[in-house]
Amino acid sequence: MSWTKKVLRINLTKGTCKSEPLNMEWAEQFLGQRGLATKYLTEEVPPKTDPLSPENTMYLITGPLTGTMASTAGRYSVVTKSPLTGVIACSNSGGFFGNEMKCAGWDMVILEGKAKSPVYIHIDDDDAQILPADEIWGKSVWEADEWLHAKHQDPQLRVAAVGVSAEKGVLYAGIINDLHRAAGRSGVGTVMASKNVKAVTIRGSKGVSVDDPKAFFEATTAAKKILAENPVTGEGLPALGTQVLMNVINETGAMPTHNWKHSVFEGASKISGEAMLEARDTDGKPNLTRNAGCFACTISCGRISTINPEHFSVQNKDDLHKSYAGNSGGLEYEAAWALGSDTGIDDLDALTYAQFVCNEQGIDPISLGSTIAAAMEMFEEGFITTKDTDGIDLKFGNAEALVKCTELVGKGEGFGAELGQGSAKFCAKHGHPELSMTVRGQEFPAYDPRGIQGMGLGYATSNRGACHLRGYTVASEVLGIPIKTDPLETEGKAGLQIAFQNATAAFDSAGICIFTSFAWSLEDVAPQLNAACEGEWTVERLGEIGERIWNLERLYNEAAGFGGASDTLPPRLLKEGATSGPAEGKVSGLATMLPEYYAERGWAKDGSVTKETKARLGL
Amino acid sequence: MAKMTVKLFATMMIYLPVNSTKSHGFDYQLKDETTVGYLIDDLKLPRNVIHLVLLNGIYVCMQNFETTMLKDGDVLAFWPQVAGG
Repeated sequence: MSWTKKVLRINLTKGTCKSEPLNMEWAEQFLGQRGLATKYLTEEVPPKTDPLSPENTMYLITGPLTGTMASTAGRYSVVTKSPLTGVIACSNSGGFFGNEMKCAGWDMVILEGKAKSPVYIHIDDDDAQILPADEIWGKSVWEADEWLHAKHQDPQLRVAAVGVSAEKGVLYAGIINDLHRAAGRSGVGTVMASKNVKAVTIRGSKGVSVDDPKAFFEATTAAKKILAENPVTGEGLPALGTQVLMNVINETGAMPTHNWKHSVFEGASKISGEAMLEARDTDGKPNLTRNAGCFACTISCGRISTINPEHFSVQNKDDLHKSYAGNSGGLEYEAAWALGSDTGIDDLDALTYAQFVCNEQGIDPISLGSTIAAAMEMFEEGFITTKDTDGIDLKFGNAEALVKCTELVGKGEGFGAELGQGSAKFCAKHGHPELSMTVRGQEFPAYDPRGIQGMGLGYATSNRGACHLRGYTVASEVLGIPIKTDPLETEGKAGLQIAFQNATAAFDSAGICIFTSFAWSLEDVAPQLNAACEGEWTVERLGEIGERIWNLERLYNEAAGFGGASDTLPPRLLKEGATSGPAEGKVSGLATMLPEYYAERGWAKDGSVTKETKARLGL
Repeated sequence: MAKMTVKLFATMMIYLPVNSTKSHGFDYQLKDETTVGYLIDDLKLPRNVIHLVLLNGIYVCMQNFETTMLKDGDVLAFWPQVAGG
């Protein structure tokens, strides 16, 4: 139990919705969510498939704990082949969509083929329909959400939709559910729009069963107590959210600034979680209204905020933008650094506005901010001019330029369409590929690896391109969780990164949020899974599943043409020393860490997965 | 007279003096031989809440509080246990 053991396979080309049994043999090996969908993808989608062709398939999938009373059990993932990177895409989202899918009786919804005209998928327990979406094609996520709720006359309908950016081919468009929770990275929204699917709506009324209810109640209650008593998950995250990191990472000297030319941002404190609590001069209110939680979450790190009503970004907006006047989701740390310090902008309201637009139009703010920052460097260096930018004065620190660029990417128009191709394509087109701060085509998250060495190895080896959610060694190197290691040292980082990568893959496949891992280890997850699912679910088994998933993702990427040769970083991080802060003069020690990493993974010297390792993991 | 900057972040902001002017911080006058440990006690910061201490961006572990000397122009920042991402 806990799995519904049912999959809804929707073939958009044929217009069919069919129920099929979940492959339980694979579930035993890959658990659920990230791992299980990866198995389906690798079996069904050849690695060389064009990501935006009908031959690519999307897997919207829950984990065995999704929809249960385990803390944070509202998660679902979208797995497909990414149009931004050409490697595997796996984006994870919270909110209330995953649990609704599970309660409707489905572990997974598969979207294959391509519809002839715009459609949306409507799921009401066992009943699934492909319905016309012509009226909402060309509309934002927020407008589509409103229209779908009105059409079905159901306020509790859960909606996951793409915005105009995805329809227009922006390569880092995400899927937004519940207005502001996002399966954000790697362009999973772009793939959905390429299939002519605007939204998936779900209403589930069945509930979720677990194998041993009494043991499950005890295990989840014990685990919730750990979260409540932990200073991070019980106090810090609810109070300041992810944005608590802005000052930490800046003081550590690892804050990417001006397209990673620098690693300390003078304006960091003005756009920090602490600043979000301070009253504004105009209306006396702080940016932050309150925190918010996803389904079953006992942490509640989400931010609900407002923009200063007198800020330029919300002046003279038409009715379409009426939602900007009220509370909405944001600002999160990953959006704040990319849209803020990377572009040199310390205007909290401009960043909040840009994040709102990202939610409204379904854009990944990390890739957006990084691409704008790369374009700003190109502009300041004279590699592009106002003739290229639709007249926008694209200087570092120009908040009005950020707002304008964000709006253009949201609509996929003019210069926005070009920025929407991501920084790798943008910089290459204008003759300076070295200025793109990406790995395998995906933009970096918020940690300069010259100051946090383990993260450089993490970016270079991440299976979905540069990412912080694959192996978050920042927890150990900066924050001292579970133990403090020296961020400037390379020694021991290979083993640390592997431990984080494997454990994260297991967390991501269970149906829970990775933020629980600030307080939980697999020792806290195993009893919950063991009570929910039939069979024995031990820490050792979960560790092995994590390693198996990592290797399977790696094998798929290798076959797609992205093996060891793509395990590298941009020249700036390998050759240019940090300009100030504790890491001053340091570069990433990737060359030292990578061979160690390959050896500890049981891979060959060129980074390929060996036969022995495959056999050991049953791959 | 030698002075330095103390910064208090996240839920430790409640220990900021009312007249603190710098961003989440304030000036602190150094006496002779001031250590991190002396400063913590002088400002009545709760040791059980302090988790992350950065002196000019470099981590100071708890065992070194009493032996780490402070000097003119230093920036000393304090956090409780925090995380995000």
